Amino acid sequence: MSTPKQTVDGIKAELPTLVAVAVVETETGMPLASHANMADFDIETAAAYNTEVVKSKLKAIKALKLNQTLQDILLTLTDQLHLLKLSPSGDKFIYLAVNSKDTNLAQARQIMKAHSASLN
Amino acid sequence: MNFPFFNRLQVKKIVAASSEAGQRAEAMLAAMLREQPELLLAYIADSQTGSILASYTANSTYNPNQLNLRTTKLLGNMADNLAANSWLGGPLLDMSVLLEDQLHHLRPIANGQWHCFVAVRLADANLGILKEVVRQATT
Repeated sequence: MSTPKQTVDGIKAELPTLVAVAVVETETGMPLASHANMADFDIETAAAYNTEVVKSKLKAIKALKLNQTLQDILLTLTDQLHLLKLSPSGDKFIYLAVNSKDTNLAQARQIMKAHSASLN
Repeated sequence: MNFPFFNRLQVKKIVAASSEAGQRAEAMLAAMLREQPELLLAYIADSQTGSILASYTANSTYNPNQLNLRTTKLLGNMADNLAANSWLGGPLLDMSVLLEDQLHHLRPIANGQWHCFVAVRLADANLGILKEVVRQATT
């Protein structure tokens, strides 16, 4: 099992060109550990808004009565990819932002998958 | 008063509003279904009001009326996020959600005035194909 800080450090080591990474508490929307390579990236605000994205999607799954768990949420922006992946217990999620010219979706997903499985 | 007869969904048929916007949205859904006939659910809604312009469902359990206001609110939330400059990568092009065996895809279209939501089984499509089918049908 990894702590939020270890998870952030592990992802940073594998993706040194990332824009930002954070482990966020789903209930509060606050980052437990984070790192950004862009000085003006407001990771606390991004984490709070992303928490609403996760909660909104969980409500939609409930509304459709789908007996399924949420695996990944992928947001494609013009220049960046933002990925959200819930921990196995669902109480935390990893938020990763990368430049689409540096990292493709499959690479980012695989790295997130590996780290979320061991997130404590 | 709630009349179940009037609320019954038409299955495997595109249902569109009788406006010009509804006809345009219907043509977009028809183009999507030509490329990806296994869609579970698809709809195009107005991003201001949340009202559905055209919809398609393969099964009555996938009711677009249970989702349209949620996706509208979600896009509003994302617009706030962009306005707050907490995302610096430019406007949102699309959003994909992977479930255990389904893929949900949401794309703002018509300069953000409308949005398109699509759900498909992962056994019937992959993310790359679905993104491209939706992009081509809606531009």
